[in-house]
Amino acid sequence: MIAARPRNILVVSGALLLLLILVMIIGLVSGAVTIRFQDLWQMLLGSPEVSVKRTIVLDIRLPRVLLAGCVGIGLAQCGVVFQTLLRNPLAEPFILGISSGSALGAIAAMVLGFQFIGAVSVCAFVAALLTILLILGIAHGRGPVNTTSLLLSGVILNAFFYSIILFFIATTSEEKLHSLLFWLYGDLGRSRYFHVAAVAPIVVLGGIFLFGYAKNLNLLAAGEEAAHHLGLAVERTKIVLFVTVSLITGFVVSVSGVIGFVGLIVPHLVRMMLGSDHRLLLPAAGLFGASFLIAADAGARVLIAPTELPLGVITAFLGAPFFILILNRKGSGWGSS
Amino acid sequence: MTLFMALFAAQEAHAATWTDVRGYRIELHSAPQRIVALAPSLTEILFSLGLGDRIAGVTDFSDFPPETARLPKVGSYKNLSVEAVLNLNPDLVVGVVDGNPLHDLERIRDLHVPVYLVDPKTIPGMLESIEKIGAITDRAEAARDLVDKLQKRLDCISRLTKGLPRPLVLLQIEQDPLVTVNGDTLQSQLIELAGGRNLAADESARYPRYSLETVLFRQPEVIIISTMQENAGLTKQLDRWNRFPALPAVRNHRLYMIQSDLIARAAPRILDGLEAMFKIIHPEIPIDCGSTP
Repeated sequence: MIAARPRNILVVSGALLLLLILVMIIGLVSGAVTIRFQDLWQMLLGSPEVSVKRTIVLDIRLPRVLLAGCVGIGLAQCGVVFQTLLRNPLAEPFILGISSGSALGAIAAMVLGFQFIGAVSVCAFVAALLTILLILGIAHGRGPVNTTSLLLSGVILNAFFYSIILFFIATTSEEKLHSLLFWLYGDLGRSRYFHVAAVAPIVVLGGIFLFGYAKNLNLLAAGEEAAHHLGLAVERTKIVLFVTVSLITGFVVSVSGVIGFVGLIVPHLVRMMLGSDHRLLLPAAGLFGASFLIAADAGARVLIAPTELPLGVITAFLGAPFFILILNRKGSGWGSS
Repeated sequence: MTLFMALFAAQEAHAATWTDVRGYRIELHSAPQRIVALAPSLTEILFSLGLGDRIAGVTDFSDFPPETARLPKVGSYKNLSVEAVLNLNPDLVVGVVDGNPLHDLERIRDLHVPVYLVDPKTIPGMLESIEKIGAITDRAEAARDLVDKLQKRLDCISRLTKGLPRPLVLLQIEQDPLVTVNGDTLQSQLIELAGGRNLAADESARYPRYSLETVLFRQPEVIIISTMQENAGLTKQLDRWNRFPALPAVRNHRLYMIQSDLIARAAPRILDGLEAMFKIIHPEIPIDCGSTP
């Protein structure tokens, strides 16, 4: 385990940033169409020549790589915070029903045929917000917000939303089925620069905000009672953090669909390698999450090209075995600091 | 006396055994009066044979002709309700080999309701299906007439496309994510018959989710959006393509829309679909084959 001294945080973040840049370059050169590494350089350095390959790299792959990065940062950091907040190693953005609520909003927009610009993303985000309020409402109905009631209401909402999603899937025409299903398995094929412009500030500002709470998260991880005795306003901190990560989740899911496993695997891997001090864990998980998702999306584009796979297929397929391997070798690192 | 004989002969002719494409045998003692059609295409075929008033039930999404709306539904063609079918007390159930769940068909058959399957996956297959359905429903002559007319229109288009250049066509079924059709689909047959080449013909999935960059790389000359949407949604979909001037289809303003049910259903209207497709792919050639109705 590495101590969370400022120097260490910088070194670890620097190393992971280098990895991220490398993975981004790999993401830009992989795809159904072959693009050579040297050509990539010229395009990025801005040769004004308009060519098909330039369009492919700059208008299709680059926004997709950037969006995958943002989504990866968001999901991984939210995973870290949810796990600490709920004191449960299985917690991730999906377990609370926020993602399925958001997916339900998106799917309803598609089935009902809303046509305004960005209809699907807007409905997904609004649905995520409503879900958060619903979870807080249900959990609050039983006195102070406690972890178990949050988890339980999340699990139950998840089941409820999925039943409605399945209802839509069972009753929709075959024409629309593809878009519905891809929303459930995650999809970055729609990526445009304006998606990046909408999500990047949220993820970056959210990341900075969460980093500011790193010490408080460490206290919460040590136990709520201890945190209380050390002067932390436990209830308030939990609600602020919960709302923040829920908002980030809502934004991220509204542009990417439901991408499972990233919020679970990445935080645990980083915990196993670096320990559970949030000052180190949060930036490291964010950067590693970005690399992981960019790589997974490159895989989704290449494996059976020119047909593309849903992103969730790759994240779960690669993630689960890798995770089990590490778990057996190192132990979960959960709770040890 | 002769009249009586003729009537008797007709009756006799109908008390017959028919074998469907799957090799199942059904016995019909008189022309069926309560038919359940297990696919939207079959509903259209029955109506075009003048059997609309003998249809007892149809599947969800059967929306043509408009009279279909008031007919009882028995679930979607892939997700049938066996109970709903039986409840209509049909004397004939017509289904498709490719789509209707076999176990549901077996259950209906086990309860002594005659089930007759056809396989209208291709245009020749559709023409054959029309004749077969005509035969078992005592509409053989109407079926032959219809098939002749459709065949003439088909021949006309294939005459017109002979020797023409064959532009590369992308048919978009869905935009988010981009989904197109492979060579095994009815839509792809229409593209080829109308004198074009399907960009994704070689894919293994029937409705592959296709990579956008491959579309850019392969440079389709014509992009056709298959949709049931009205204009508002369509403009949005066209705008998506217009941001790629590197595509010949965009540079030359060759983005089109086609009504999806005209090209996806193996029913007589598919000839309208074929003619629409031909006008899109070869706008310079008028459809004129003399005697075409």
